[in-house]
Amino acid sequence: MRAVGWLRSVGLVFGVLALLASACAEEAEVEEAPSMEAAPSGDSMDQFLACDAEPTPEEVAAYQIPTADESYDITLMQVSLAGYYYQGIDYGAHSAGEKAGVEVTTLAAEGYASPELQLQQVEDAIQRGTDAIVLAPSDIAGSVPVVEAALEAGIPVVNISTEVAHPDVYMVMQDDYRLGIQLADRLAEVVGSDGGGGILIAGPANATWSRKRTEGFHDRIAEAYPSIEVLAAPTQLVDPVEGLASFEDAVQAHPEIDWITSVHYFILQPGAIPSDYASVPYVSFGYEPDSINALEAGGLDSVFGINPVAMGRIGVGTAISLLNGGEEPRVNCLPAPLLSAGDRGSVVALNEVIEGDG
Amino acid sequence: MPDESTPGTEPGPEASRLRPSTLIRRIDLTSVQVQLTIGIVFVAAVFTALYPDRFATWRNVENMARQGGTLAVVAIGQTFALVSGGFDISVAATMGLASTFGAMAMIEYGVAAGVAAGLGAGLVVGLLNGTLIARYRVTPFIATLGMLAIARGVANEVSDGRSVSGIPSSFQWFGGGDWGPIPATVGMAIVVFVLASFILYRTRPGLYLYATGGSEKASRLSGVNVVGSELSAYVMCSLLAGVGGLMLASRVSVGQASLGQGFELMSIATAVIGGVAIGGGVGRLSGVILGVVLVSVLSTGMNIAQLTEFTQEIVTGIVLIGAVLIDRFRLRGRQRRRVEATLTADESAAAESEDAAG
Repeated sequence: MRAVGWLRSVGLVFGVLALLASACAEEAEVEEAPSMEAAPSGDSMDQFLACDAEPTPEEVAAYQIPTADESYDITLMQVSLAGYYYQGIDYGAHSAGEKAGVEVTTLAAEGYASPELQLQQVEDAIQRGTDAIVLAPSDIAGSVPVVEAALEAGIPVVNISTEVAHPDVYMVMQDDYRLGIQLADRLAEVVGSDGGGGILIAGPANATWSRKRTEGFHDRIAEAYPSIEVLAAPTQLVDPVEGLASFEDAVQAHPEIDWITSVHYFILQPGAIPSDYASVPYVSFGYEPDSINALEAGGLDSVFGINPVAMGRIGVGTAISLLNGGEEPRVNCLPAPLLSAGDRGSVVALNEVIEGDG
Repeated sequence: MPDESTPGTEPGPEASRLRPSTLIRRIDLTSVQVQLTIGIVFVAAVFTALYPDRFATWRNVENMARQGGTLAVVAIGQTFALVSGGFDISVAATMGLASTFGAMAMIEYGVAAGVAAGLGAGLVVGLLNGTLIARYRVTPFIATLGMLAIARGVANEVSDGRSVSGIPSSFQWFGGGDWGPIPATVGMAIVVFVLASFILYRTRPGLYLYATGGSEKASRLSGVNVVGSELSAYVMCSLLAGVGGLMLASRVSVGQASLGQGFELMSIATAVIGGVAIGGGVGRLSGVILGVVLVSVLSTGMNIAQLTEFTQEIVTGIVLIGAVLIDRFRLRGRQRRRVEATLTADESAAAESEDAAG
């Protein structure tokens, strides 16, 4: 049995050696952050969307749903229905459908990385005889067969929320890489010329949206703000418990921080930040009832709106327009308005939330 | 009976022939607790050497304890299910359900009502799990898998798929704040550890639980209420998952259906690492606590080392599989020693008989 004890110790030695090797690799990756001029390639995270249209927040708020020529059947394919963001998309899509006089049916997958379920769902939707699909893809590459199945059946696909790697879709979404840049610019404004070090809660390491925001943020900081230092950028699931643990661990390594940021406020709940850091400015994404409360309570400095309601509304509107035989921009890049406590009740702020939540 | 779970402490017939110093050395090296302690010290030493000013601080010890407290509570609950011969994969969903019910009730009727609602949710899930498994002989995997889906669905249904915010600050004592000098999660874990230890080691139901897990048939023949014993194990498991859910809600200031994701596997993993045998009848809570400490040290160390979540998953998986393999070796060793002891006893008896006959 003594051997068992040694085996346990030897196993731990190997585990720790693996950690060391990975840690070294990690540090090397951080040092080689690509510049803004890096050539876009494949599924690279450091490239802008090639936008054909870039409406302002006011134009988005004033968007008019086209009237449907016929009573179309439109399928909204969501990643999930749990969470305010997805519910906002759903609300926007259904309210647009009601206004235009079309049937909107929602199908939800089981979160990111469940493209097989989306494929099954699109096949069912085609069988049902749907006329158009508004797709929030579960995976950038894994959801490509969903698009192919629809296009083969002659059904147009409007891609919302986050990208799917197919050239023949119409996109209505925000440019997450640009959002990362906006985040860096806002942070620079908040911390001022002194700059300082801080922590980025980077979100899922395997989701396109979080990786692009993170990449845009790092690139912009490296390019334009030498006085700002990203002390740690831990990744985690979209889970406030993991977000808090990541933050707590990061401040062990770097107890003195001047700013906090995250790829979405939900991952690091402002109310959960330890009291020692409650006064550190926190900038994030997502204008929702919880973040509105945090903005008013001072737990958040400001957030960028991520347009869930407009995305659902314009997604369905685009589908109706295409079915009517109209022309639509291939890539419609929605803005990310900067919102703080004082913006509550404004047209742009109200456009971010489900009716009655503003 | 609990003492049998630590084979290193079993004296065995041959022990009387060993010198005290040899015996002590052997006990130390084969005890799960000692092996784990050596492992924890080793891993902590490596991280201390790598990050002396970040890892080896009192502040970080407090941080690890704060993070590990909730896992300890849930793992102790899982130990009840494991010792009874089953397991519970619905604990994470139960945590989400308890946090949602607790937060909603708390906002409406106050903290006491919220705690009661959260614990009540855990109790109901436990009763349902226990009834299905103990009374209707549904396998633990199927019963708790079904309950996982039901609990998560109910939590999403009642909360409309959103997080429930507005938890009163007076609820911080349940997990987010401190009890004097110690973090609240640690205080909760200590209380739960003491109560669970008393139930398992000092009461008849605790004894029956080990007996049922060790051999259900033998227990039944001995007059043990096997159904009641199994039922109570799942009630304890879900009740403590409910406590864990409330602790998380207190920490992150929201209740949410997805709160606790990952705890189902981590609670089983830490219990198994701590020497609780899958199959039942064996396991001590002190080992479970050490398993939680090992996982917490490893997790925090990896976060401080800024390893990606993917690398962390790999390392956690390796540690779990390693622990199960070691558990297998340990069981085989124990069985071999028992056989050897029996043979030695038989030989001695035969020799005595021959002497007597001669």
